[in-house]
Amino acid sequence: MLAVTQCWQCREPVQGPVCAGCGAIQPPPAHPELFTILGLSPSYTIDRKAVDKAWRGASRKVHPDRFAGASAVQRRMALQWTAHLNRARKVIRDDTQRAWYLATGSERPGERDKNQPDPAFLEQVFELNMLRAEDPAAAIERARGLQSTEQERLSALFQSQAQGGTLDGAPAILGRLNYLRTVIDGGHE
Amino acid sequence: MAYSDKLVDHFENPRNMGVLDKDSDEVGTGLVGAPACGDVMKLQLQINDQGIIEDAKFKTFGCGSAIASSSLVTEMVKGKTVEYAENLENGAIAEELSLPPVKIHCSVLAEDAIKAALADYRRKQAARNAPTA
Amino acid sequence: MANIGIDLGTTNSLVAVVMGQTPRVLLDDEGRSLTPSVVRYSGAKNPDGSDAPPMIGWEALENAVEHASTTLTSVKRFMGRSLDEARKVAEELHYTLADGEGQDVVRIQAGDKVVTPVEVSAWILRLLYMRANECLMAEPTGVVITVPAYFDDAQRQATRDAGKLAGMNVLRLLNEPTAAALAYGLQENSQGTYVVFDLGGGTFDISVLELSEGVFQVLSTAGDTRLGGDDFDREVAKLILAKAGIENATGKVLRAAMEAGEQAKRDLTTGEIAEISVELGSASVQMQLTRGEFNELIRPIAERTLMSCKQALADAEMEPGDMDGVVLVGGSTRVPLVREIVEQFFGREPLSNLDPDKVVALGAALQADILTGSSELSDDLLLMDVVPLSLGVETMGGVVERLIWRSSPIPVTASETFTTQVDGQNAVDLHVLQGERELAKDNRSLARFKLKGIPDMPAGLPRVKVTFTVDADGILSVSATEQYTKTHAEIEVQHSYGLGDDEIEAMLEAAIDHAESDVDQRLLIEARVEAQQVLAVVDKSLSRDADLLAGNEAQVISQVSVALRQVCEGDDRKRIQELTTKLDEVTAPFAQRRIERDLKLALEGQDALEVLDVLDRSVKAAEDAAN
Repeated sequence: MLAVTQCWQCREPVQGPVCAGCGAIQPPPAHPELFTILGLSPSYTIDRKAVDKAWRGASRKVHPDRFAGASAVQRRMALQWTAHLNRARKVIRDDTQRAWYLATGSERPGERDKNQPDPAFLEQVFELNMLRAEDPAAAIERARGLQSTEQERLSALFQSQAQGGTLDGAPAILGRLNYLRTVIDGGHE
Repeated sequence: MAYSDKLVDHFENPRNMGVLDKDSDEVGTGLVGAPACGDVMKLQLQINDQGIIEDAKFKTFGCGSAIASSSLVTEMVKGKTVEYAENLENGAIAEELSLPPVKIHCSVLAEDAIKAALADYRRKQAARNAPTA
Repeated sequence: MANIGIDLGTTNSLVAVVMGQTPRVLLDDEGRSLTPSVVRYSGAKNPDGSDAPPMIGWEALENAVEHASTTLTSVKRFMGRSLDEARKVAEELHYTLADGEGQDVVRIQAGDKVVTPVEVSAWILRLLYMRANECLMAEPTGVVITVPAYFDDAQRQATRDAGKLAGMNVLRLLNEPTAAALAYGLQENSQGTYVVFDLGGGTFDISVLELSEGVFQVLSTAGDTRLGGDDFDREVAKLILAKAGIENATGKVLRAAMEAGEQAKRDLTTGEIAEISVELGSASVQMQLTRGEFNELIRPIAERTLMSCKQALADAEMEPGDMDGVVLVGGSTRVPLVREIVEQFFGREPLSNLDPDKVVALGAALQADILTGSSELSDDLLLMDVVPLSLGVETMGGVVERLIWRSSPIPVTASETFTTQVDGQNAVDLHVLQGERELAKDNRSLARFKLKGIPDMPAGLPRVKVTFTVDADGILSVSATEQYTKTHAEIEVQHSYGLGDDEIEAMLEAAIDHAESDVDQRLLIEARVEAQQVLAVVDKSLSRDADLLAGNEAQVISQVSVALRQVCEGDDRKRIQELTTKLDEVTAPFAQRRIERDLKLALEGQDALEVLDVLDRSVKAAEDAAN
């Protein structure tokens, strides 16, 4: 739920991005909860159509076009709100980003994340990368096999979370998926 | 002032790509990854009896910056002592040096790989020396 | 109170407005809807010896062959282009570029006059604006200008600058295909997925859009800014010149061949055979061209459009057969071969009940009307555009790190944290790029700036946070902060080959000096309105937050307010502006305290840094508003 605050313009209580009284757009939070700003509940299982519907509905309220005649400050806030909504939609629609977000609060691993996977796995990824140079099809096929195993583990983890389990194991799985993805996509070349 | 030019040259023409014999007692191998982007880097050091790094090679699967950092680091440690490599610093810098930014994990990946390679070398040496001691 | 929509095209431009609930294209005195995007610098002088305004539109097009060197056409192709890129276009278009005096700004030689593409476009905009003014018998409040969806940041900025130079309040830059879909979508009044195929004189755009629950969302967009109907004309012109045995044609000869090519293209739109008869200086050519021959001549160019179609569909994760409607825009889609290719590719007959020449302007007028906030559609319909090309920065090693991906809905912000590569590195060079290639050198360079003042720290320790913001017009601003020291650098991306704000100001001044008196009158009115707005805000603040006044502030503010009210009665625009600025200045500390208090109240409960962050942005926004 969105907290009730006071409208910066008319000082009336306001809930949500736009003041019902004076129509002023409110300052957006710097780090909003991405599901909440779309009016959704956090969940790994999503319906993309429902996400888009929520995004359209929310966008119609705060898009800068709605404030074309308002002050520059309000237009800027509208820009920030809409940018938040667009980011929320992007993160939630993407399976990997959504998983990272739900497990860690951020849609991708931190730049300083130094959690190394176990050496055997890393060696395997290195070998797959080497193989990719010679026989891409074989390398990609093997990587896909490992990928689906990890994806099943991830889904199981999120299911167990629904029954009260933790997501502590998620970053490790997601990390491994990241390495496999670079093999499948051909890395950064 | 020449320093930055040299550096840029490094990024354009990476050196020391390749592999050394990982089973040799003289070779330490470090394999590290960057979970942030899935880069993996293997860095190997060949070290002689006097503790001098005679050769350094790397193989990096990752972005250009990671490859460039690897090249720079291997070039810096070649011919130097193990002690130098452990306390790796990239030297005094001219004032007003300005270069493009680098991704954080790329800047540390090569350093981590060097440390891992040295640790591997030490382990091998300890294993070899153990029976005669 | 009316907002207008302008389609600023490569070959022709139009202005439209919503009357009642229907968008209408405004006609000129002769009843014509299209205005050629042509400006001719005749070299005529005003009585006082200054340059007279150039001829614009039809007037400029008359005798264009005779005055080839002073008649500027297709200037849109130069908008936002670097000098190198412009040279290539200039070669194709028989133009002479002026030597840049060491600058990288594109300047076109028009007789003895040197002009920028932005200035030329501004003249075209002015003409359309005046027409709207006459038709509406009132000053338009704001303007929506359309741009090809594929326009990059520099090209958008150049277009916005042209509007600014013409003295307009540019509400929004709207992508042409979005405008076209808007015109069709509302007419058809249906939900669904549309593809807009827009082949103009010099540019090609393809967009996939979805209309659902009142949101018109661009799913993807692709195109080619150097592909258009002019290229068809050129193919025929080449054939004609070859027939005449002329190599390296320039000036009048080239223009005559191009015009003959264009005429042949028109003839073959309805007919099967075109009779070509043209004088080329000393030579002359008489020949026949069949539609079949013409088709083979232009087929390679026409089929280049399909590459972009595939790209746009792939980005939207759709198949050609998924489209509920195929919209054709641009005069060049009248060419039968183009229709044939489109129909074949999408497996569906294109919609054509709206005039492809007018549909963009009609959509622009609709969007302009929506932006008034009082239209019937204002609450029901929203347009969501996307970033046409990915945006990123160059990182060490010459590689691009993308921060915003192609086809992301706008507005959008993204940030990434970087660090330094060597110990004691005091600055980072930020090179902002647009494009899809891996290496920086293969992408469009938008700007370079330096974040200086990073204190001596070991490599890898500084935290340089780079933030990109793309607004609803698709225009980018970039800021960078070093997190430990809060060293900050911010730019609205200034293109090295664009025009600086000073330059725009200077051109604006120059334009005002030579423009007709109604422009002076308008500026005076604007100055008064702005003064009234500032006065109203000050009055309201004084009555509400008087407790925040310090020292003799109340007295100073009151003196300036009274003086401003007095000059507003008169006609001295400069004085009005001076005093408005003065009032802004003397109330600035007071306004700052008010903003701080308001935001403190509004943001109670959030952490201090966030408050500072929001505050920082709001203050900046307030400054923007004041500027």
